[in-house]
Amino acid sequence: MKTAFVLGALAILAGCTSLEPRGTHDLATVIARASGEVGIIDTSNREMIAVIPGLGDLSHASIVYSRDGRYAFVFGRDGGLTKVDILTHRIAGRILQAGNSIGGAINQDGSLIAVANYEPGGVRVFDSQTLKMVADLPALIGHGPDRSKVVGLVDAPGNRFVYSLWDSGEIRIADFSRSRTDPDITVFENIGIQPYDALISPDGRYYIAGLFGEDGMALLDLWHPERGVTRILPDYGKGEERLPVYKMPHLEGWAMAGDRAFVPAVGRHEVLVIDTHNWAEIGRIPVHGQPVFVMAHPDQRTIWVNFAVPDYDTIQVIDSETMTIIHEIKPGKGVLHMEFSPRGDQIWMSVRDDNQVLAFDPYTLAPIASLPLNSPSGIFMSARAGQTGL
Amino acid sequence: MQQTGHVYLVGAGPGDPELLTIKAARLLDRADAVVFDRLVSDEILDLINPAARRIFVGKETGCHSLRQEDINALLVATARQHQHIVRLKGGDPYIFGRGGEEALFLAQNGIPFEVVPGITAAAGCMAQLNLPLTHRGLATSVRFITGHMQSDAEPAHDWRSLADPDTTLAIYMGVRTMPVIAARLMENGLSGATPAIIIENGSTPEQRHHRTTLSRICADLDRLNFDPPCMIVIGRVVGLIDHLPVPVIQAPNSAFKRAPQNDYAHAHTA
Repeated sequence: MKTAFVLGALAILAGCTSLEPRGTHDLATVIARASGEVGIIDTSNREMIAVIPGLGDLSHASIVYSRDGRYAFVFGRDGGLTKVDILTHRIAGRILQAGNSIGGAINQDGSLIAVANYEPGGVRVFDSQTLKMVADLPALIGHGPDRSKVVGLVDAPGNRFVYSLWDSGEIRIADFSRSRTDPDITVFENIGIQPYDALISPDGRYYIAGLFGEDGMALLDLWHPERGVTRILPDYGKGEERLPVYKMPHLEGWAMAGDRAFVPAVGRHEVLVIDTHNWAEIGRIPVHGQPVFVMAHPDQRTIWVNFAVPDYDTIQVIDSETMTIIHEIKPGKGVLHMEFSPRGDQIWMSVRDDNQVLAFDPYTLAPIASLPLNSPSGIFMSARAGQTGL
Repeated sequence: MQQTGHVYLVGAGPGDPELLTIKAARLLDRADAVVFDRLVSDEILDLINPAARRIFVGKETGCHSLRQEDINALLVATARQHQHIVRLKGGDPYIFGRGGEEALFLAQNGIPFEVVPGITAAAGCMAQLNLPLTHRGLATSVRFITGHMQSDAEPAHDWRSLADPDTTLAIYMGVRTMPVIAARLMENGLSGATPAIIIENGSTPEQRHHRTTLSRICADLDRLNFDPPCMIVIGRVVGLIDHLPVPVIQAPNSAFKRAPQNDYAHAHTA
């Protein structure tokens, strides 16, 4: 009680210090996993301007932004959904909406927040202003009563959410364009065994789910849902089984540069190169370890890769034209995530074991900022507010 | 000559109060002091004599409440103040429970003691899923191994002997070190396709399990957010889960009444 009062007082003080009007487009939020906090970074002045406590269990947490870029919606592992005002540094709302969750999304018009849940399974949808629940989509396995764990929840054009059902191997589209409380649900069955994560292409056309229980991936063309789900990359995930898979690569990190996609291989020290016209593999780039995130620079000239344990002290940079590694940096132990500034003049990365958020000039590789934060993980630029699927 | 009490080093089993021995339940009911760990479930703590002094010395990886030396000293000090002391430990006190160290220290200090075994996590968790630890044609032996390691050092195991397809590996405290364990086992020839299972909060209503393979277990621990305490079992016996019914875990037996709230007196050693 006393702590809550003190924190409240601090939040009010913090609010008082930021009376000067300003935009949010150069702000970023960073998850501080161990302490249940979110740091707010001013990337122009390269400083940590606030640390917001009290957000619960933030392992595997992620963040989406309101349409105006002012509010960060933080999805915690413990089912917590917290709305953080990144201008006044206050918690504007917080609910515990399930027991165990894995990410969420905001719809195209910004009015709805959807959360993918493990326990109980399904998707819950909330009003982004009030955080009141407007729809509960149970994702029943068959006719129920059991609910499937939901993964790979993304927003798609047309006020739709697309998500995958781990337990029953389905992709579903929930279309909220007709009703805010009673969406039209389209179900695609038998898409593959145990989808574990998914991505949507930056234009919102292709939804691609990774499969844990078998090799290959499931592709849904949202321009043509009537064509159903097709399978691509039949060898994706097929390993020689010499090494354990330390971490399933994050699919959100698929880098699309020109007509190529750069994809982290599962359990192997390779980045796969895919032709996005026919989704066929056209090359493999040997890299330092098992890749986790493969991110394209906004100018698409370079591709940045980080790695799973035990190689998570390293970042490699690939030239997207020649498909060769041109740089390697060792920012510190436990590089968990990286994010470019919207126009690519900075790259920010979390170095968990050093308790630092670092920034580099991606052209010169010169370090430009080093900000302390307790066990930092995901970094989320507020510019995501304007991007489909992020 | 100061009169000392009698210390019972008691195994609380894997969590389900019905898996406690009758002797353990009787000793808890008669205890006038109980020294217990983090890994003892609330349902079992409810069986402690309400008049007994309770001393929590819980341990969690990375944040030890009390060092083992302090626990040893505390047991001796408690034995000098009380008659009937139960040192209650999760699982079995003599399997990765450091019960042997406490017994040695008690013996050196002339404190009479007795050991009451408990069901170790490997047996309790696997039985909960109807899975055997050995099985004709699948596993001729079972190895209980610890995944715990000192700071950055590797667990000192004979990996070649552990990478045996005819052996069931029951790994305690292995969540954090699984990347090293899985890599060493595969380097030494154990197939990445070997069945494996993660069991979190074994034999309690919060139990959850996930069946996987050796090559995918690290990714699953990460992706599915498993936290200690977890039992990890690797071996062909795990594949029997496809042929055996998986029982639904029942809430604890209502015959066990809930005692007044624990006071969780934190221990101070002189």
